[in-house]
Amino acid sequence: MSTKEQSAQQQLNESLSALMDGEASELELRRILKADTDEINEHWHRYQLASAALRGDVTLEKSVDLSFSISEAIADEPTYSSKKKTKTSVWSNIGRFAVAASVAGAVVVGVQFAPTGPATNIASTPTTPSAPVSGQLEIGGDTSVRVVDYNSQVPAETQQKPIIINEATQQQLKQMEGEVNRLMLEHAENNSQNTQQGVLPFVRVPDAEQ
Amino acid sequence: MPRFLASLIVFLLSGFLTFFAIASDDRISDQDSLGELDQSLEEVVISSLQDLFSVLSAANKYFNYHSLLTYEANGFITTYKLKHRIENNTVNQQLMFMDGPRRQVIREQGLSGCNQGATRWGLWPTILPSTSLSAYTLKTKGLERVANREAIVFDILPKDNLRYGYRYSVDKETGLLLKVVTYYKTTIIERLQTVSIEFSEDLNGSDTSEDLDYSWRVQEVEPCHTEQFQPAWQVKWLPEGFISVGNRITAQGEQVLMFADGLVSISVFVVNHQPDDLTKATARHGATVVVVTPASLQVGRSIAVVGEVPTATARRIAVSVQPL
Repeated sequence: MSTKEQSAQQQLNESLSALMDGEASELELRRILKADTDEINEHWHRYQLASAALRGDVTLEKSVDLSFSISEAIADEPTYSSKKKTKTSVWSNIGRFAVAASVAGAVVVGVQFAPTGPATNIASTPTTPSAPVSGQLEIGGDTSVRVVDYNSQVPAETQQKPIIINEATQQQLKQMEGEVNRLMLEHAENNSQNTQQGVLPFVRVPDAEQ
Repeated sequence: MPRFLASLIVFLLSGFLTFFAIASDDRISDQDSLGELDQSLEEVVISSLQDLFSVLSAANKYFNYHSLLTYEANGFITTYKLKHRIENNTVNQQLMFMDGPRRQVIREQGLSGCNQGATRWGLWPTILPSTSLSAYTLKTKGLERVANREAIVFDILPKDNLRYGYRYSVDKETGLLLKVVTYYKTTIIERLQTVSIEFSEDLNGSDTSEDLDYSWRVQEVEPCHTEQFQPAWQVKWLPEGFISVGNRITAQGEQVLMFADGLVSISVFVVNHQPDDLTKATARHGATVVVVTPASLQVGRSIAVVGEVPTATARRIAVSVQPL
């Protein structure tokens, strides 16, 4: 590959990364759309995988080996996590909290406040469509928490807003996580009695004591 | 495997089942101990989900085994030890979590089931009628090797996008479920896989003293639970194929409405909440999703839908719940 081609490829990767972070310009978007589809698809998949892995929410193609793919995706894109860290440092706090609150608990992928709730704690700055991540989440455990816009029509999976964590909201989140784990256990009992999946319902139960 | 167990399962399977016949050139038989059973499995054909579930259910009533399992979800792998033994006409199942806090799930049930099998409750769920299972199609995918054993692979494919698909790998010799992979379209949601399995006629509880150290011990709800009540809430929308399989009240006094489509179940909770509580949340662990949303027309109540369905399905169910 010539230097020129490498440079073009590098530029393309950067555009793709920007798109993944919701920051791609129109020019970058056109560049991606014009590029070789297979290669773009593969890169896009890797970015998605890295993003999913970092927020503990892994999606895989069926023939892909889990650990290998994730480490590969992460190793290939070192700038992804570091970039995210600096941009969404507020999430570090959430990550620490979430890991402390639930070692192996359910993954709370979206939390919304009641209209009467502490709405002032929700920052109004929209962020990227990808999940905010932090170093703590990457290392610490399989729990992630993020908050979504109460009035949003967009599915919770694709839209989040950062929140400023204070004692009150930490308490609320902790309570919700406990509640979610309890409901999952209750459901496991129902599930084991109404389905033919052996021990799977109980295997799925997160640690309810945390 | 002990020969008398093989005979038992042969008798059982041959009575009312048809097991899928694998093309003879694919078959691997273990002449030492499995010849007789293998012969029998050839003759029967699994042509429907009911057939498959009958095999799984029967196998759980006839085999003593220890197994090691891994469960992979949300990008993490957790490990389990399962002890399944039949003593005094009772099945005792002990599932130990080998990671994180020391805990286990104990399940016990008589072989005869609840009310001579008349109720759905217990370790032997009633297999739902074919009208319910009609949301899925069954395809046989051939053989694969799992836990150093030969397994028959079945794809259970949903006919819509409102639920997940499954790939079951069923032990060819015993009919035990060795592996379950849950899919949403082509994406893997979770994977439960047996790493190793050992059969024994005599798996007594000799090592349970060690196991009792586990600080978290979950007993199954009353094994032959028949409590019912007239629910004050109704669910206006469910994916096709889901039918009501009962109601109960939790220890917190919440009403739970339960639904199943023959493969997965959905629990709808009516939860009381405090003014300061969060009233909207979505959580996911493997295939299980929890959607909490404020109840319509009732202040201080939330609806929580928990089930092995995509988030969009759970959300649609949650907003359809209304007081009667």
